[in-house]
Amino acid sequence: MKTKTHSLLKKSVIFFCIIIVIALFASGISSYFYNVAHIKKNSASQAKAGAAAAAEVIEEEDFNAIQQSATGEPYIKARKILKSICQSFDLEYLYLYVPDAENGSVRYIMTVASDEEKDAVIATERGLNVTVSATISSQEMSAWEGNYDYSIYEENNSYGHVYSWFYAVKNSEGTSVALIGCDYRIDRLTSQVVEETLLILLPMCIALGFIVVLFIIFMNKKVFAPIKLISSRMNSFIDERQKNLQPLAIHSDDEIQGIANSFEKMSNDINTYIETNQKLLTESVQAKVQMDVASRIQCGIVPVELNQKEEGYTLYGFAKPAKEVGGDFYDAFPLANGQVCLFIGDVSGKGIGAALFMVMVKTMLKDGLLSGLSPATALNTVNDTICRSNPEGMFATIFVALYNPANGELTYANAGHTKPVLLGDIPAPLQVESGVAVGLFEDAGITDCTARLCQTGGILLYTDGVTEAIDRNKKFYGETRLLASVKGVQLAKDCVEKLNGSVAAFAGGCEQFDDYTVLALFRQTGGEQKYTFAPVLSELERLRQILFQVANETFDKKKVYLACEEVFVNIVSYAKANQIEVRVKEVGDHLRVTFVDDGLTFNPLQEQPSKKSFNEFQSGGMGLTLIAKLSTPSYTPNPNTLTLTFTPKKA
Amino acid sequence: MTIQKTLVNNTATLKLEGWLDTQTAPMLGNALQELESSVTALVFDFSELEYISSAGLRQIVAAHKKMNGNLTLQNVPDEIMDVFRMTGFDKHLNIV
Repeated sequence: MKTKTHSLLKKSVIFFCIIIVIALFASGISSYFYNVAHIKKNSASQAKAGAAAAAEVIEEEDFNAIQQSATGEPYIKARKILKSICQSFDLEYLYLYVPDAENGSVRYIMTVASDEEKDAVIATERGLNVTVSATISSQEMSAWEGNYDYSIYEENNSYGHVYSWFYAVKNSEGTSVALIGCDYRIDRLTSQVVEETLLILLPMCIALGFIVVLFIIFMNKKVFAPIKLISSRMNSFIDERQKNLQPLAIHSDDEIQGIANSFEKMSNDINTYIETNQKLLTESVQAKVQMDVASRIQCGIVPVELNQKEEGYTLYGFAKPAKEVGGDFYDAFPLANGQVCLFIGDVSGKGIGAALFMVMVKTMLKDGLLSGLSPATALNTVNDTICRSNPEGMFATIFVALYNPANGELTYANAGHTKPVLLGDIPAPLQVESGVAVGLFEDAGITDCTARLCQTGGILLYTDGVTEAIDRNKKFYGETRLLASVKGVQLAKDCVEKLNGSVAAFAGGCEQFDDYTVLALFRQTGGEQKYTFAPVLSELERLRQILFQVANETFDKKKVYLACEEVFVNIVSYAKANQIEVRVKEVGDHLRVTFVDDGLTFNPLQEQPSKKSFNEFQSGGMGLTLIAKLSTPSYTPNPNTLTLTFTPKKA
Repeated sequence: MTIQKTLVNNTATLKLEGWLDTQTAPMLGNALQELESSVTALVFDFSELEYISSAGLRQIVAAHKKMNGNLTLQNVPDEIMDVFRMTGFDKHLNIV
């Protein structure tokens, strides 16, 4: 925004002019009045003196003789003398008259004027014995009585604006016989006053003007010009920043120099500040770019969402870093032996450092688990590796679990991580030792534990960002709410979404300061696993491996396999089948193994175990006995379907 | 499965280690056939036997026949014994 500015120089010139005008006006007024009073006094004394002189002259002459005739010698002589007095005292008119207060009239004897033309006129107009009616003033009365202590008489009539003075003419007895009046013209007086006033004011004016000019030149050089220079520097500060590094060309020792010095210091400070800021800005932009890259890499390493739905389980993971690069991590992946590995962890600290450490830990851990290490062994190995070189003293809490989809068994180990929740009818924290976070101590001695998920059970892994989510009162979400939120869920995605919804509702939009990571795995209910085999005996090894994996610890695995081996061998030996399908399913606490083949229709259960002698058993027949003893078999034809149901082993 | 054979006088002892099932039973069959004719008594040491199926049982019957009943089973683990019981072998064999 630009506002119109008025030059301080102009303003001060105007200011000084106004001051001078006021001063001149005031002194003019005062000197005018002084002069008026002064001149009035002078003219009064002049008039008094003139009147007195004239009165004296008339008294010396024969007053009666003068009055005889206007053409008589005494009259002419007296008139001549009066005229010379009038002229020498610089009076307008001088007149000799006799006032008659009783009749209110005046009888003139003679009147003279200094001016010849006026004198000629007045000689007849107010000549001898010219009587005019007039009011006799108090001054005239006072003079008649010989008292001259009166103020001057002012009159404005056809003969002009005049001051008048009166003096009495006395006879030899001392009685007043006539009055001498003399007029002094005021307009002449006024012009004189003005002239005298001007005479005083003019040099004063010139002197003041000179002082003002000198002052303005001084102010301009010492104040206005430097201020203008500083102002222009300020205006173009950013555009001509480099030029502004030059010192200001101001050389004095007063406040202006102080301002110039302060301005220079400020310029330098601002320049330094700008340079520092630009440097910081560049660095922060670089850091931002690096953080963005790190964030993208992290998203590749720790997926925001992980959704797996396989035979035997559903799995869902979700991560939401609080900052751009977080310290939480998780992963889930199948292993070659059919098990599923899942882990979750939280690295100490935040930002790039934590992310790097996280990547290292996660990579080592995954490598170990993929190579077949048990959860505890993998964690101990990672811990030992980190402890050998951990300059930043970082650590990570990790929980690792291996899940066997075939039988719902979990093998797990904990390195200081929040205990997961075992999800069933009533969700509860998984019983597990707390363990020690990896990176803290060598020989952490983490051990494996096992548990078994029930038919509709699952496990929920999470980081403390979940239980420590805060609402607007800074209250934690807590484990109780978590356990309540996941009650009754049976699918991993459902479980995570319910938990997320519950936490979001609790937080109510408050900003969260910790990473938030959850990973849920649910045993898939009602799932039947199918395996296909070629009808050859060499497939037995694979059958054994599968059954040992699928059958959980409640069953005598060798006995289960024994029955199944007998069935399989029978089919291979007699059915002439092209392939054998084996289905395995847990039904309640029973295990059901079904053999389906596309060979010749044959119901082995119709063949009653023969009452052979012992030695005849060499040709066989024991297989069926074993099957019937080890399980409850049932058969349906087309295709041949033999189902063996196993009960858990007796305690 | 591995078979360790020791011969003392005319008594042969076969120590079976591992799984005696459909696939390994022929090994035992071969071992029986290869027995010297001088052997008059046979002993099976099952202390290290982990598993037995009907194919294995048949080989035991074969051995029993071949030795004319002069067969002794020793150190039979419980889970093998279970199978013998199910099939009634325990009543026909000399198990010590």
